[in-house]
Amino acid sequence: MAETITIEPISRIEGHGKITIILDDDGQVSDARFHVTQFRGFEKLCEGRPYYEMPSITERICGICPVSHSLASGKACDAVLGVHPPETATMLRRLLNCGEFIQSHALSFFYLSSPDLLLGMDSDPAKRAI
Amino acid sequence: MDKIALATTWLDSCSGCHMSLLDIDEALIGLAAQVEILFGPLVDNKIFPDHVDVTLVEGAVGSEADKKNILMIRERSRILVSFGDCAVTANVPGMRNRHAVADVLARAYIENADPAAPLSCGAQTGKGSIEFQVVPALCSKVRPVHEFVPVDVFLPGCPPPPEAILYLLSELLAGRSPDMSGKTRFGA
Repeated sequence: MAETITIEPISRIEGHGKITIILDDDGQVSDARFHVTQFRGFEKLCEGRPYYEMPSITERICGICPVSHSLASGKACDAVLGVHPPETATMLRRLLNCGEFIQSHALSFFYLSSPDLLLGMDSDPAKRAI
Repeated sequence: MDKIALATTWLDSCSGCHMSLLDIDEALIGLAAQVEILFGPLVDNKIFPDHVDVTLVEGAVGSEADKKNILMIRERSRILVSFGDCAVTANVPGMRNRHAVADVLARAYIENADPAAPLSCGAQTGKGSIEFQVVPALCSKVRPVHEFVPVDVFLPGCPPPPEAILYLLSELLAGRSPDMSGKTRFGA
């Protein structure tokens, strides 16, 4: 009998998701899918709003990696205005982006993945849930 | 003293309030001695426990799954905190409310789609129509948490500052009702 295994919610990731694994009649995996279970429609809700709101609105796409969205939006606003930021500004933006790499990776490792990796997936969930 | 059972969840939101919770930094160590986090994005537990003392709910109610979850969470939580502006006012997710859901979806998945890109195997994309199958259907309007269930404490902020979160938790741990006035505000 074909069967579907659902893993929901996927915990300790940076976002909202679930996984479905579809097994065929022989119990072999025939398909596996990752689903993002949230949709807010920034593509639409940003329309018609002043460009200078965009960095602070798009930062709210993700509270874990807001810098990426802010910088991307800043670049788009530069293009809208037809301006080129000075080199110092570009370097500061890069520095900000590097800062986010460090922050986001540290968060992902120390708060989210490391308890599972260091204590083992099969260890007592009460202990892993530090 | 038994530890206080704490749960956290994120509905329609960006995780930023949870990041602000983590930003109480070293105070987390003291907190960990007093509370047990039983459920939430930061712990590996798939099932919301039957009884929780305090639940921090980040995010607005934007999908059918959010609706179902918030009713269940309310039933199982003694104190429910609307954690951050999305929970309190629907905030950024609520900005889609001036558009029809079909238009919002069409913008992202049809109009913005690259027609040259091959569909992944198993994709159900029928050009021009979007059907919800495995993912939860979106509500026509995104609404704040207190429109669905009674809320005990409101904690505004986008995100609420870590000091305000720590104050709220400390007051609740001491058995007092936190007075959040002057400690946080809407927006940044």
